[in-house]
Amino acid sequence: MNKALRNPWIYAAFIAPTLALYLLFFLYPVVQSLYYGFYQWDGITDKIYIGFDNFTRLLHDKVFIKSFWNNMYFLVFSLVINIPLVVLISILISKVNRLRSFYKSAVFVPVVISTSTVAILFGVLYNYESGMINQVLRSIGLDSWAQEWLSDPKLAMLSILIANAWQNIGFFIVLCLAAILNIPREIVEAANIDGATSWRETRLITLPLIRPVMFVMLLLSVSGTMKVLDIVQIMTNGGPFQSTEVMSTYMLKVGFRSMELGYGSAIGVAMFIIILVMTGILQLISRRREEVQY
Amino acid sequence: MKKNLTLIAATLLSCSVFLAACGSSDKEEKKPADTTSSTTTTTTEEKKEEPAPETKNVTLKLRHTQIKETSKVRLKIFQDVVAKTEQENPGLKIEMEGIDEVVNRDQKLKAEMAAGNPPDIFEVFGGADLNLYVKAGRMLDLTPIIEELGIKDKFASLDEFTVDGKVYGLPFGGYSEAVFYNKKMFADMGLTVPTTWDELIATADKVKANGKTPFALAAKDAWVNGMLWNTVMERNVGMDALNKVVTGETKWTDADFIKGFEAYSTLVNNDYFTKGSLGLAYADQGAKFLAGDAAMLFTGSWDANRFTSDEAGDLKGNIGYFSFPSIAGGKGDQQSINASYSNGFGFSASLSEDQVAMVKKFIANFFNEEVQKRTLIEDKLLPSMKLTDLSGVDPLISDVLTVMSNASSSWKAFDAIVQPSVTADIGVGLQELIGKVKKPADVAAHIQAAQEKANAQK
Repeated sequence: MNKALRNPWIYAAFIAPTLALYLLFFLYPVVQSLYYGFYQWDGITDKIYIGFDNFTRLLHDKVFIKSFWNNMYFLVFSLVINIPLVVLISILISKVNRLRSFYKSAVFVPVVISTSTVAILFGVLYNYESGMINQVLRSIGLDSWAQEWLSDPKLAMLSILIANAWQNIGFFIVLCLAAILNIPREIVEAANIDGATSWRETRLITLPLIRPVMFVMLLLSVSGTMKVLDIVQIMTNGGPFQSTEVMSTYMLKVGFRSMELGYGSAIGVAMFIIILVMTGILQLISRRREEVQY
Repeated sequence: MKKNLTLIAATLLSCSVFLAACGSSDKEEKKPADTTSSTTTTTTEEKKEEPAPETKNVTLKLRHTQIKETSKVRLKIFQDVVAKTEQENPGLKIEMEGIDEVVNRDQKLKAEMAAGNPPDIFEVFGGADLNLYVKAGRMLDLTPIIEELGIKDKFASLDEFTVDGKVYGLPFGGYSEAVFYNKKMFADMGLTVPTTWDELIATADKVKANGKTPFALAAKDAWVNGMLWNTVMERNVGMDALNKVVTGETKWTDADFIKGFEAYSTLVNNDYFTKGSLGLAYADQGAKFLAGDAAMLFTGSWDANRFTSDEAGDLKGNIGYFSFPSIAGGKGDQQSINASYSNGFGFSASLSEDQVAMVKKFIANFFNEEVQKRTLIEDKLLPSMKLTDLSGVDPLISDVLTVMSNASSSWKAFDAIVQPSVTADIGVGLQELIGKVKKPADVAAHIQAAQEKANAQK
């Protein structure tokens, strides 16, 4: 057995299947999309080589640019609203001792539900006439507050973001809570003896010590929001009139609804590059900062 | 370690030997069954195939889209035909797979066609979809089969499935698009069926004044909005002009077309449609209509099935169907209707000879007067084949049949004419009109730009 562990070929044999799948389902499609991106192709008949036309078209495509900004809206929302909310709720839960595991599971429940279910569920809640939100507003006499949550282009994106946040923060809270509970008790006690108030303790002890986890959340938020598809697809399908289109739903529409597979591939490649660059920048930033050790 | 490898190799080898043995023994075992099958085939079919067909294990994959609650009747008919065909042909296995129709049409089937591995039998739309697949050589030419079965002339229309004189698909039903109306509400409000545009506006205004919605609409899915708009457009410009947008001889920005967009947008601006419609999925508009919230509903005759079901409640038997009113001064055929036989079955070009033989059996069992009559009575689907006997038909269905036979001409939907990318932009444009964020002329200009781009790509 020991001999086997020293044989590099054994390792290779164990890695091979995963590597093969990775190549087949990740690397190969990426290369393939890049290749298709240079063609005008409906996916079925002969391809026509058009050089960089698809990519230059992207830069002038108003809908694509709109989709990109919608993705950014997603990202900004999760950075400005979701993550602070996650940290706040985590700290609150960490402070209570009674029923802590109940709160922990309660916030985690939405994560377990599939995104499709969440999307349909919120679709029902947001319904203009029969949705619960409008019903409640009307029943307390706020008729004018009742909104076309998903069909008003000004509100639709926000409505999706709220549904998305409801589902996703649970996972982040569990992550964040684990980090907070991992902070050695001695440090907190020492701080308390030195006279740190609750606020100072949070600001000077807790927050710096959970920074690595916060960075992970940041990274997950960036990649998650830039490639978001399912919840938008189901709740609004990019509508009304493409006001909630994100890059991935637009890619799907162009590629398979309009049958412009070449252009669709170009959108896919653009998404790949955008996400790569953004996560790359984040990595650089995190490497420059020294982490607090304990 | 080495020992293990040899062990695995040996196991694999023995497995393959075993499997090979299975394969060869198959033929011998099936001999007795063979004779029974040949007798059944000779009795059911008039034509005798000289050598009794050898029973082979043939598998056919059938992709259908009848998965909704509202389409379970049709699914049952499919299943019965499949079961019958399987029973008559021992060794035949037809695997049915159900999938959502929009997903199938827009994503799955298209992707499979691109990759070259469509299912053996599948639901397909005639027109633009079919043309593309025929061009790529993915569709089985059915001309010899339907000639042999003698059913070629029995279809109401095979136009949408015919490319260069060859038939590549068979419609199992047809539809027309017109206005369903709540007879009870019309009677209560003292309304009559409008026959002109002005009468329609007056009718709608009266409905609105009575606190109800004139037209139920669910506008989240673009194709739903396309239906009413398509008819309004045809009334204004005529089919000839619509057909010419792909050649560039006419433009979406021509005066008549603009009038069409404006007429549609009049309906929107008068608030005739369900509020919040842009957030509603298709099934919701039927629900609103059946709930008595709306007086009228423009959609396809396929919904007649739902409107005669128990879901209709009080309204059962109180729903009528009328052709869209004429528009004075319009250039279209004012009594025409959007009707087509584009919903059908297609077959993969890569079938083996045995599979084609079985496909022939399937076609014989599915496309006959008996199944068509059953489809009309149970599923309320307009028959794609000419029927000799029309007894026992539901009143709403006979309304639908009457409207269709009274129409001066029928034409196919715009999405069977223009390129898919233009269809997509029309969908967005109509939503913009419904959302009142763009003017008709701007929408027309945008669609024309998309049309020119698509025309240039040919």
